[in-house]
Amino acid sequence: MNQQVTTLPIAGVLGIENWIENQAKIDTHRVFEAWAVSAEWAARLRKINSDYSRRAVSPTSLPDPAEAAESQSERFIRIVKTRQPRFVLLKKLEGIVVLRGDDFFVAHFVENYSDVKILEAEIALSDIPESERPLVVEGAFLVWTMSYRWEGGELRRDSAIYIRRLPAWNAQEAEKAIHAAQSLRTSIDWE
Amino acid sequence: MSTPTLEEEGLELVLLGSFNPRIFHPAWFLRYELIAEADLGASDVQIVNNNISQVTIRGVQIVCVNERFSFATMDPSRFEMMHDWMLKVLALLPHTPLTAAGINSYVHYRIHDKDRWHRIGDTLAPKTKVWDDLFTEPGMQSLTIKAPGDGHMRPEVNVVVEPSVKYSPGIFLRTNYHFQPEKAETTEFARFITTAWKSATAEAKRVAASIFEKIP
Repeated sequence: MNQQVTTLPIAGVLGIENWIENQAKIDTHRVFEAWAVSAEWAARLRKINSDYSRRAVSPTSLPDPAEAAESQSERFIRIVKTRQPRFVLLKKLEGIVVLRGDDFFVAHFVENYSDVKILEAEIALSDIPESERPLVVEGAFLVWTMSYRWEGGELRRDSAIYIRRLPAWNAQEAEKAIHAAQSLRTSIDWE
Repeated sequence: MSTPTLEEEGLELVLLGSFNPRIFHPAWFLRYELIAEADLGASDVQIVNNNISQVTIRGVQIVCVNERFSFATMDPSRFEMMHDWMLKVLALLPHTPLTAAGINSYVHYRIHDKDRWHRIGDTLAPKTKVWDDLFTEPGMQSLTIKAPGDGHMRPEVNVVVEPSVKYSPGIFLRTNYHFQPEKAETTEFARFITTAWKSATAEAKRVAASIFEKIP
């Protein structure tokens, strides 16, 4: 991920600039209506692609814009994007739903899994988007984040609850968890 | 001494392999219940065709270009959602040929004290031995550190430190957990994402904290 993170120079990464150039020649408006790609843009992509092929840190890292000045040259992508909001996380709590009522639910939260202190919160279902309410069942995992959000000149404090969509455990994973719990239980001297 | 302030953070999940970009449309995410119907209308489809897919759903940018598939966001409240989506994608496309996965985190910190900002650069990349004799006012522009993986679950870690181009004086720090297993099965990649998640997503902040602690 480079410093101009709003969008990635996807075309440059994989050397498809020729394809883009051709598409632009064929029908710019049809293919790249939003991007307004032109032959000039394809040339820029070619330069960036060449920059990247020189200095990839690792294949899964965004090819490294080693020099800030060069990374700034990637602003071409930002031309088509409006400035995105900026966020700073203030607090993140992870939790589990322990009780579901008709119009509320109770969840236990921790900041870190090693925390002994558990925070219990009763939350109105109206705080959850309607489409996600069926996911609020006992045992469901959730994340509660509080963050600052800057958009233009405006600063807001955001609070968001996300009901996790984790894949269901398979039998092997469940067996492993049971075994780990049993092993932990037997290792404790309960007196 | 003023404390550097975190101005921005973000995360990117990357898979390398062979993909079909056309399927990564918001409708596909809705069909498999990763998003709700209301998200479909609010999503931003920049382009979807056989070669490229670039869409934004719930503040997460999804980009697929044949050999590279990624989720990226600048909103920390979306990190876990990206994690869940990636696991679901791996579960839905179990026969996708994959070669590598990456978890990339980045941060921008504003350094309020310009002397300290210079001190960080001078400590990470000393100029006195070589550079000062060669050039006038040489400065660190980018530093890359690589820690090798073990070929199994311990990933290769790459760290890049640069002056921030957004917040001046400030530093930009980006980390990459690169996982390239010998056995390239989707379950292996899912296991990597799950096990490395906590440390990988916090890595840029951890490195920054260490730099600030050791270079007061």
